[in-house]
Amino acid sequence: MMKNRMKELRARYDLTQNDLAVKVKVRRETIVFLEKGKYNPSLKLAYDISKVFEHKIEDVFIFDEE
Amino acid sequence: MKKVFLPIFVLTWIIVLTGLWLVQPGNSSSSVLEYVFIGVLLVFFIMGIYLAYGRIKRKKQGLPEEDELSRKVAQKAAAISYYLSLFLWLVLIYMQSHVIINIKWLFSTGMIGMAIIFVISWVIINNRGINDEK
Repeated sequence: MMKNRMKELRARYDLTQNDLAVKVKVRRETIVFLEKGKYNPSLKLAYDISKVFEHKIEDVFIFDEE
Repeated sequence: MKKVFLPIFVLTWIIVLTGLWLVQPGNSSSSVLEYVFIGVLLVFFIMGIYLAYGRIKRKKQGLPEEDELSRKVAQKAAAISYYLSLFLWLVLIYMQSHVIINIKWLFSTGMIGMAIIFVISWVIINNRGINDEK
């Protein structure tokens, strides 16, 4: 199962869901679904989000093998 | 901007075709079913306006009108509604061969039914999200 630290990192960078959506060029609803774990992003979107947070993809999106 | 015109184009066609359907000669006997169809079309029209408004609002905020999630939702809704529509048409064909049904009623019900199935599928998937891991 894939987990992510988007909400935590977004708070650290003081970004709203709308700000992040504008930066990675998706709708705000997509950010909401990503944070709730209801949608797994494409590699491109995961890369763009990680780039905004200045982290590696695997630090933002954590694959839990259990 | 091209993508904003798509829902407006579809809405215009719904209005024009509904208007033509209502004013066609010999359509004086308005059955309950026709009122149901008009009601369904009205719901679709309102939904279309809501979606077009959402797209214009996003455009003004500098957000894309659609993205990878919205495209996936539309694709999945189309796939599910196609599958379910096959059963709808099977039921209608079965009814047509066993009960005397007006051919106009049959096609109208089939097409409106397909549209309703698509809208319901879209609303459910749009609210639940897509998680391919499950």
